[in-house]
Amino acid sequence: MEKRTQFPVGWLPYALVAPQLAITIVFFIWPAGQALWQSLLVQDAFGIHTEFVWFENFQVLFADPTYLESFRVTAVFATLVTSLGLGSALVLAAACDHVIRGARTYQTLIIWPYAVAPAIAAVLWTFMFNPTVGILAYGLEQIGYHWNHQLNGGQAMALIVISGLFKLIPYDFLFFLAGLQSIPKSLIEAAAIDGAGPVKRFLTISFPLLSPTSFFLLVVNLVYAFFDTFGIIDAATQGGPFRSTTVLVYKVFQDGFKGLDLGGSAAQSVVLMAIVISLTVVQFRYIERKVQY
Amino acid sequence: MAKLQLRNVKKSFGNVEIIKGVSADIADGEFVVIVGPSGCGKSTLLRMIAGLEAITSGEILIGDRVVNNLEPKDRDIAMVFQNYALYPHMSVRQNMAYGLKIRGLAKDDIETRVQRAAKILELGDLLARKPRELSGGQRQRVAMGRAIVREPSVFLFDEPLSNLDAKLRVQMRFEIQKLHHNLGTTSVYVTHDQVEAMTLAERMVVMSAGITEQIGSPAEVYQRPATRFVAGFIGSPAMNFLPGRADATGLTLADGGHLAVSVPAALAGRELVLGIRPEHLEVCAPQEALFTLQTEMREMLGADILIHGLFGKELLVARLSAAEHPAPGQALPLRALPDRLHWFDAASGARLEAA
Ligand SMILES: Nc1ncnc2c1ncn2[C@@H]1O[C@H](COP(=O)(O)OP(=O)(O)OP(=O)(O)O)[C@@H](O)[C@H]1O
Ligand SMILES: [Mg+2]
Repeated sequence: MEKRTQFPVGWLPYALVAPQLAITIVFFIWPAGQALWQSLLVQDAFGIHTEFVWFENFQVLFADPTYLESFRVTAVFATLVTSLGLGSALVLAAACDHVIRGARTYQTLIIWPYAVAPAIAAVLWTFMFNPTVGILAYGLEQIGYHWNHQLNGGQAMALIVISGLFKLIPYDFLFFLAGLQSIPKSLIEAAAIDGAGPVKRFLTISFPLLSPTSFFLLVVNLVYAFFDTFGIIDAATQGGPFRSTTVLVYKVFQDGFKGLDLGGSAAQSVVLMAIVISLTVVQFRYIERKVQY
Repeated sequence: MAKLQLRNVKKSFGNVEIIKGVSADIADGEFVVIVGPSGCGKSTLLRMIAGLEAITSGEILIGDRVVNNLEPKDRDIAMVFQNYALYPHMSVRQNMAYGLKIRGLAKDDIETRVQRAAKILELGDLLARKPRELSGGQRQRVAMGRAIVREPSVFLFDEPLSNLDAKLRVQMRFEIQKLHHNLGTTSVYVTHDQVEAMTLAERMVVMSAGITEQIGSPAEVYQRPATRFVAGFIGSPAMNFLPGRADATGLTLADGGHLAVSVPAALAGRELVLGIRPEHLEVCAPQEALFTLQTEMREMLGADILIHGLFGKELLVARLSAAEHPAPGQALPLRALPDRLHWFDAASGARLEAA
C-alpha cells in the first residue's frame, strides 16, 4: 500500500537532487570508476607506457605475502579498536547513566576528545610515548617496562590502537548513552523490584535493548578502523616498524604514491571498496530489519 | 502477606515538600486505594513504599520490619506500573519468570507458578508472544501476572487501568477485585479516578497536595466527607457549595441571598459552607423549598437528568429523575433532607458536626 502523498512529477524533483547527484558523481562514482579502470592497467613508473592487463594486478596482489600480511595487520587492528572502543564506551556510558551528581561534567569530559582531529591525537600520543622524551614512556621505564614503538611492532600497534580509540570512544559513548537514556526508567525499576541488582539489570535489560545501537556502532567502528585511520598511522608510525602497522589503506597509499605502482594500488582500492560495500549491505539488511524488540 | 504502616512519612524534592506527613495503617489483606487529583503525590508515596524513592523522614513498615533503608528487592513487594513496564525483548513467559529466575527458584517451580498465573489471568495462549504483539488489556494482564507469580506480601498498583478504554477498564476493575478476593494479598492501589477508587477500595485514602484529607471506607467518605476538599472531590457531579453566614433564620449568602435552612445551634453566627450533593436535591412545593433554582441548562443522562441553574449568583447542579424536565428559565423549587446537609468551616474547610 502506498501511503506517501504523490505529487505530479515535474522538473523540480530532479533539480532538487541534482546537486547531491553531482557531488556523488564527481567525488565518488568517477574516482571509483578510475580506480576500477586503473586496476586493470599496468603503467611504468614515469607514466609513459600503459598496458591493459585484465586481472593481472589482482593475481599479483593476492600472491604478494606483504599484502596478505597487511590483511592480518588490519584484522588485528580493526578487532582491537572495535572491541576496545565498544567495550570501554559501553562501560563509561553505563557508569554515566548511573551517576546522578556531576553527570553533565563527566559527559562533557568524555566527549571532548572527539573534537581533536585523529592525526593530532596520534601526534600527541606519539609524543607522550616517545622513547627518549615521552612522559608515558618514561613512566613505563620507571616500572621496568621498556617502550620503543619505533623498534617493537607490538608496541607500535598498541600506539595506533590507542590513538584510534581516542576519537572512537567518545563517539560510541554518545550513542550508547543516548541509547541507555531512551530505555524507559520504569523498565529498570521493574527489574529492580523483580530483584535484579545493577549489574544484572544492565546485562539482562539494558544491554539487550541496546543491541540495535551496538550493531550499528559495530559496523561504523569497523568502517572507521578500515578506512579512516590513515591520518593516525601516517602521523604515528608510517606503517612501521617492518610493516607491523601497515593496514590496507596505508598500503594503498604506500604502493601508489611512494612505490608508484598505480595499477597495484588501484587494485587494492577496489578490494577495499568491495569490503566497505559489503559492510554497508550488512548494515542495511540487519539494522533496518533485525531490531531486537 | 503482611500489614503495611506509614508513620508520618515525608518527602521533599530539593526544598519543595511534596509529601507533608502521611500516616496510615493498612491491615493484612486489605485493599486500600489512594485517590487524589493529579500531582498530589500519590505516585511518589507509592514509589516510597516500593523503595524506588528515598524517604525524607518518617517510617514505613511492611510486616513488622522498618523498610526505610531496604532495597526494593528486599521489601517483598510487587508493583504494577501505569505503562506496564513489560520487558520488550522477552516473551510473556520470560517476563513473568524473570523475577523468579533471579530469586533462584527451581525450573519446574517457576513453570508451575507461571502456568498458574497464566490460568488465573487467561494468558495461557499468549505465553510465547512478545509484549508488542499484545493488546493493551493483555499487556495489563501480563503486568499483573508478573506481580502475582512472585507471591509478594504487598501489591502496589500505580494507575494500572488508565491506559485502557472505558469498557476494558470496567472489566479489568472487576478482574482485579476477583483477584484480590482469591489471593487476599495486601494491596495499595493508586488512582485519580474516583469511580475506580469507590468500586475497588475496602478503604480509601483521599489525598490532596501531599496530605491525607480522609481515610475511610468508600461509604464513609461519601456520606461523611471529612473536609470540603473530600466533599468536592468524591461524587459526580461534584457537591454544591454555598458559602455564607449562619444566623437564627438560616444562611445568608455573600450576594445577599437567603436560605431558609435550620442551622444547628452550635454553628450559629459562624462563617460556614453548606454542601449539598446534586443527587440529594429534590423538587418540592414552593413553600417547602430550601431555595429556588433558575434553570439554565439540562443534561440528559438517561435515567436521570442534570439541571444546571442559578441561585442568586451561585451556579448549582441538581440530579433529578428524568421525569422532571423544567424548561430553561423556569424556576424550580428544591429541597434536601436535613441529614443530607454537610457543614464545613469556611476558613479551614473542616467538617462541622451538627450535634
Ligand atoms: N523527581 C522529582 N523531582 C521533583 N519533583 C517531583 C519529582 N517527582 C515528582 N515530583 C513532583 O511531585 C509532585 C507529585 O508527583 P506525583 O507523581 O507523585 O503525582 P501523582 O499524584 O502521582 O499525579 P498523577 O495523578 O498525575 O500521576 C508533582 O508536583 C511533581 O511535580
Ligand atoms: Mg502518578
